[in-house]
Amino acid sequence: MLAVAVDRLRPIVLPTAFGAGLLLLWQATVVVFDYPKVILPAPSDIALALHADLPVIWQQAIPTVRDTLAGFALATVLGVGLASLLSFSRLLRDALYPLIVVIQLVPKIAWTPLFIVWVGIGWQSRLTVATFIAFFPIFIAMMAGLEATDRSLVRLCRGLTATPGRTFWLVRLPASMPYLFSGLKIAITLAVIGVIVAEFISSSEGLGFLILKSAALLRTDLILAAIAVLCVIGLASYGLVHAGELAVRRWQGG
Amino acid sequence: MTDIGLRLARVESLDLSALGRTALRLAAPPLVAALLLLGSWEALSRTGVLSKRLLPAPSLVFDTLVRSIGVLLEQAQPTFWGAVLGILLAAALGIVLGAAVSYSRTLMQAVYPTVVFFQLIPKVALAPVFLLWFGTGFGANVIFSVFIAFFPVMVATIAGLQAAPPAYERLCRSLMMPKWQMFLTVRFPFALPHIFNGLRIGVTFAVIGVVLGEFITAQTGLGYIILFSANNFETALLLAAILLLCGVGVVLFAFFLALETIVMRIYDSR
Repeated sequence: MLAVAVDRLRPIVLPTAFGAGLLLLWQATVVVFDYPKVILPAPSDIALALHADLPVIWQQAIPTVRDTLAGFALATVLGVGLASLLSFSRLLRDALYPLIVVIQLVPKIAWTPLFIVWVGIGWQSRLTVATFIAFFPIFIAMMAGLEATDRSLVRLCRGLTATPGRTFWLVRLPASMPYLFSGLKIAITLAVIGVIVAEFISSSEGLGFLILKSAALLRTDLILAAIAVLCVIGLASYGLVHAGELAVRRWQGG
Repeated sequence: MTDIGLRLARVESLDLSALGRTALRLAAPPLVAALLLLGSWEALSRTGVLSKRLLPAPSLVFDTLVRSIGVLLEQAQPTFWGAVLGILLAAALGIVLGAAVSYSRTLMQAVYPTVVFFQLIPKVALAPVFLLWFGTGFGANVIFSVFIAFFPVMVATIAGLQAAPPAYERLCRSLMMPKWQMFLTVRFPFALPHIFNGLRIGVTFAVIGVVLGEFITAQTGLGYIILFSANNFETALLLAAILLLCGVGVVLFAFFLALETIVMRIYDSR
């Protein structure tokens, strides 16, 4: 009995112990070698900064979260919409899909300054960057999902004289869901990255701005506290997508 | 005999023309679409609907690229070599550490979630900290690039090393094969497709890492040119620099694709 319980707990206990060990090692290193706080603050320093400056971090986290989620939502609508549109027309698909795949290879972060030239330094540029970089994985995954639909099912629908719209709604769309969610999971992490980079380059609000400002003030503890909050945001939004996947899967009955 | 030979030859030539037609059918629509897009972009810029500051015509971008090719190539070098060094170091570290961690199941279970955690968090946010630690030169950009390209390679290596079918491992064990030999002949070959997958993600991350470092320190490189021209509203130069950066990305990506083909062929032929 005990052995079974221990075996089941291993996947939880081992990583937790490893993570705690890393943090302890970090704390011990700082204490033993007496690093200045500017270079390497100890986890305890970061916790103190997090506690003391929580209102500031919280205030800057709001625009970051808002722009990330808005960009992600917009990218989902655009990616799913365009992929669905292309699945109805072979010619359109053959013409546009290879182009988008090629554009996809480009380091997309590099476009950020261009968007700032286009739409200014406000939230619009951050939204554009997040949408732009989250769009591609969603579109590509949705295309793959729509292509991967079981051929015999589609033929069956055609044999039963279903319209292409009905076939799409009843067969192709449900079949593409696992693919779509794998794309959405990549996209949500990229959306956070896009917003942060846009805030680095030019912004007067957001966690990226706070990080860069703290770097200029040599407040390394505040940088890492902001990053800790950012990690929580990243993981929470990833968890949200994962929960959405579970809900859709249950709704689909399997 | 000759009869059969002739017919075979005819079939082959038929296949070739069919192949050509398939290639044409696949390549023509995207090419036409690209030409249409570029043409209407050019036309809209010429007629002044699109402002030159916001979106200069393709011809102007090309002119700028040709005119400033000296400066652009000079600035492309730190970016290119930074990304090359970044991905090579990240590949070496990721594969070696991934293999080391996979050696023991306990170690793997302890470390893997932490690595996946690092994979999920927005690591680009750490760029200013890296610059604080390692200065603002070429070296700092490379280190940051290694840091963000490393995780996909390590995750792929660990996942790949679990991918060998259990039957193979049982066979090896019953043949009393030593662990290192089993690693070399079974587990590593099965992991290779996964590792190359990770490397392909890592390559794009390595380029992003270097460019982001150049954005923040703003001293050299294509990232610097992009930021500089954006600040001066020289959009044509900005687009030319992005075009060259795409070239850098595609060259690196193609290199790893070629490497994958070669390595897989060597392993398949054995």
